[in-house]
Amino acid sequence: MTECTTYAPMLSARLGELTPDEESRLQAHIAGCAACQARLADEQAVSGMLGEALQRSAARRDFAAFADGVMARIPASAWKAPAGRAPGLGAPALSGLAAVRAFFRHHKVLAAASAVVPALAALGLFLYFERAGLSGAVEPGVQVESETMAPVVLDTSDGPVILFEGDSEDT
Amino acid sequence: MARLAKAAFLCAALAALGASQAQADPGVPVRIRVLKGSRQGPPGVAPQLQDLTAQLSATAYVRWEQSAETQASMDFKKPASVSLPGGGQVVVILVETKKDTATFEVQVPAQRTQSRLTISKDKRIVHQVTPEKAGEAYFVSIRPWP
Repeated sequence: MTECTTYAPMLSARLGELTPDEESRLQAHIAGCAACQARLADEQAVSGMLGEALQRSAARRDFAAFADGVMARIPASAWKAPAGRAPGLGAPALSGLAAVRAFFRHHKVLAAASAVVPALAALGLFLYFERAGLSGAVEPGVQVESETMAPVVLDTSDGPVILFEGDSEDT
Repeated sequence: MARLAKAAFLCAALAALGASQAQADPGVPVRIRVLKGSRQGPPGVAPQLQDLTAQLSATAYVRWEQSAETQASMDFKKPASVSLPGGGQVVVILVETKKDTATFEVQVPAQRTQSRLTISKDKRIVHQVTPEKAGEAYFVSIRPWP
């Protein structure tokens, strides 16, 4: 009886609550104690009935009204399913382009800023590279304009030579 | 919204910084020499003009001397005036530089002549700046990043 007092509370223990030592001692006691075998059977019966009752109770609840309520709150245009897919809770709420359009329709300032900010950044980079002279190579070239001389350009391996030909102050 | 305003401000600040940074770039070192070329006399090129031999030998002038030399840091579009022995002047303007090139403008007011020359970093310009007189003429040579 003293042993039953010790082991009876353990009968309702959940899996993992008892140490392996306690588990083995409990099993040894149950094997030799008819009273505890009866208690264990009652315990298992009550536990099984409770789980079953809960499941039955949940199954009796009808969630159709809840689902209909959720769907009613979503605008019809927002849950158009892509071609080949039926609309429903599993369908994407918005198609990609429609989502972008809807977003920018409701955030006009943000849309304008999203266009202006990259443009400003590009302008900044352009100005920097243009002023810094890094925008690319330029082909060497010579342009000579003279109102009094006849310029001649000689292109040598070391660079251009510009001469005034055919005009001498002696002549 | 506040974030966007900050981002726009940051971009504008970067643009302004880039522009001012480019403005604040140091000038380009340029070596300008005044040369006298003669058709008469013993042929020869002054020792300090040896680096110009390939260009000078392409002309009909056989004797070359250096009259003056100046080396300065030139700012973009700021004219540098070079005096000629005869009393004239030549104006040299650094128009722009790119990665491997420099563009100069050479103005000879007395001859109403203006040239715009773009050369590679390792080249030089030899430009006649006076008409030939008694078989002699003056030239300027311009070399960026000497």
